[in-house]
Amino acid sequence: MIAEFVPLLIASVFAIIIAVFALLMLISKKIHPTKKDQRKTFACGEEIEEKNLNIPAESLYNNMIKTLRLDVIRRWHSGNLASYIITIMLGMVLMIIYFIYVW
Amino acid sequence: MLAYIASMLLLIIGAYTLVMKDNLIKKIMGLSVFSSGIHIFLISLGYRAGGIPPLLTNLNFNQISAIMVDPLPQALVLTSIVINLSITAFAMAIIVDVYREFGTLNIKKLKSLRG
Amino acid sequence: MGDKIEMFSFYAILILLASAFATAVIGIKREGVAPYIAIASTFTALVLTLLTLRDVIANRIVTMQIGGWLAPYGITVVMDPLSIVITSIVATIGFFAALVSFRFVEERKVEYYTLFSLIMVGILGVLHAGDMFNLFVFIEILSIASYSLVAYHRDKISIEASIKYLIMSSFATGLILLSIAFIYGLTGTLNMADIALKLGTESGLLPIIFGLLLTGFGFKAALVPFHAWKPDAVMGAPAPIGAIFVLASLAGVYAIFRMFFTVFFITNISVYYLIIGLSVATMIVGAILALQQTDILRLLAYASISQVGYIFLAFGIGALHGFGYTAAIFHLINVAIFDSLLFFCAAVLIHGAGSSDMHKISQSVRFSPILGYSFMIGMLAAVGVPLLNGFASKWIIYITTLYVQPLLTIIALLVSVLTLAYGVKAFYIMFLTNSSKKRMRIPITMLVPILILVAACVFLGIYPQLGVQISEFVVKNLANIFYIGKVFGI
Repeated sequence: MIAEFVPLLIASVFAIIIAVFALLMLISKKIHPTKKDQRKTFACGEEIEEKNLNIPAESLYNNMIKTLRLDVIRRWHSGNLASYIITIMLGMVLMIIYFIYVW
Repeated sequence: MLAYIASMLLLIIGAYTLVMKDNLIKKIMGLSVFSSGIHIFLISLGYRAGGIPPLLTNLNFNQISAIMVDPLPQALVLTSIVINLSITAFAMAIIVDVYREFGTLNIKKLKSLRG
Repeated sequence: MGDKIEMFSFYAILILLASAFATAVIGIKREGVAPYIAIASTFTALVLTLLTLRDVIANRIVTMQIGGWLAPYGITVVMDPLSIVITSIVATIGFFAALVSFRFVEERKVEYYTLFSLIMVGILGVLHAGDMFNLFVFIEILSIASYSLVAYHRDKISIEASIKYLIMSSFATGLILLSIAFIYGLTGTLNMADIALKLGTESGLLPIIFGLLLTGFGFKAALVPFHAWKPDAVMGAPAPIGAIFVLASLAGVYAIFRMFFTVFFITNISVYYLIIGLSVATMIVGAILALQQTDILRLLAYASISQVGYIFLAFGIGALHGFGYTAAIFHLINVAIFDSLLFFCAAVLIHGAGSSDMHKISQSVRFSPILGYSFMIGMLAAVGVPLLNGFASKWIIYITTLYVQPLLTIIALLVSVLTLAYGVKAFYIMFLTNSSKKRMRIPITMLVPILILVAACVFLGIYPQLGVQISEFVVKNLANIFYIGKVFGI
């Protein structure tokens, strides 16, 4: 009987924790409002502005993909229509051979 | 027997043209030949040796029901021919637009979508 | 048995067909009426589908013989629990897509809404079909309408995507017709219930028939060797149609389920091994390729390919462990909800930015936080974070694969991690590195469907018993004895 209410219980616990933390953050912002850091970032002789300091978004996974050689799969989707249809036909033929062997 | 050989030949020729030829219009022709192969196979399933066309006149169903060929595959094939006709017509309209945008009908030049 | 029950949801198909013609005819004179006709007809379709849902819950299977011709000779329209659950979801999300398109589509509205109604006719028709040839005809209606919608924008990408999709799709649906020819030659009938009665399991042609059918329907459902059309087509089409493509893939998945459960009652385990293999490949290829995309629509297309792979994994496991079918149906409902949510958020973003490249979106418009939270909830639901609906169905998939083969659990968990990776990438590029100053208000007709879908995600996450009850209701009635009996009026 209690098992019916367990998800609701866990969800309300999560919601209470989130509400408590949000309340704490709001109160602390009211008491001591934060100011932006006026110092510039120092990087070995030169100073970088804020907006150049982001993580590169597009090349975020490029190193991992190149080392694991996962971009081979992207090169298979070459945009060539003939290779797509040959893949469909090849998949169909292999499936039929597997079914004949097994059925 | 002849119908099955003809249908298989049409299927193979149609599939070959669909894959190997580079011109878009030849690919659409290959699609049409492929469909013709399927249609011949479907119609030949309803054949009855020495049969007459399934036309009812004056409700003579009891006389001809034993010797008429099967009308169901004919209805299926008619529907499929109409569907293929509309697909071919639409493909021709798109090919006109392809020529307007790319200047060529060679499928190997349409490579802006990759990955 | 009992008195005749009217199938209301079939009239939904007729109303949508009539609205397609009405839009085309009235649109010659007055262009502005087209969106209202589409919204009204999809809302009517939704109401009628919910009426049939109430009937199916009461009577388990509802059939209708068109024209009064009895079962093996006439056209049968069948609604059993599997169909009605998927039809309700499709009708709801179709209505939401019509609402989102209201502000998204600015020019050539008549063409868009005619094709939109036709695509809804196609999807609903596939779900209602009671015999193989109706299935084929409605798949072709769906395909032709989608070829035109992919070419809607008339620029380089759309035209190229449309011609490639057209050629591949005609080939694949021709294979479906070939297998229907084989079935007709073997059994002499086209009615699904009749084929189930007359087809023996020891026929030598069954491997070829089944292979051709899996290829044809797997093309529509975007399983792995046959998935190459989907990213290009979704990229060329307008963004709300991406959600409709998700529904079309779910119609293909439904057709495969129908083949497995009703028409050929497959009990051979090796077929399910092949399904598991294909599903693993689908999940992995979808997730890996989504990591490398820079266009939001292509990324979401690969994401939907990957999530359909999860459905097939659960479905293949279901033959080896009893609870897998429940997981498959539950995950199907969840995929429809959160994938459509993601596509509608992408539609709002593209409407504001004018382009679908993620970097261009991040530099053009700044959106309200509501859109950011909705997109984040959609992505977290795809990953399987607790309190959202993806968690409940993925948890069942993990547990059932743990009993059968723990390697599959590891693969499923890894693909969830990859899902988190590309979700974070999309969210980060578009919302957190947003460096523009122009603000934009989200139109209200785009905001309401997004909020309703977010509420559905959270509700099914907090109360997953509802989803499991729906899936159990479907799975209990999957054996084709009830189907065959009801179709023949016993």
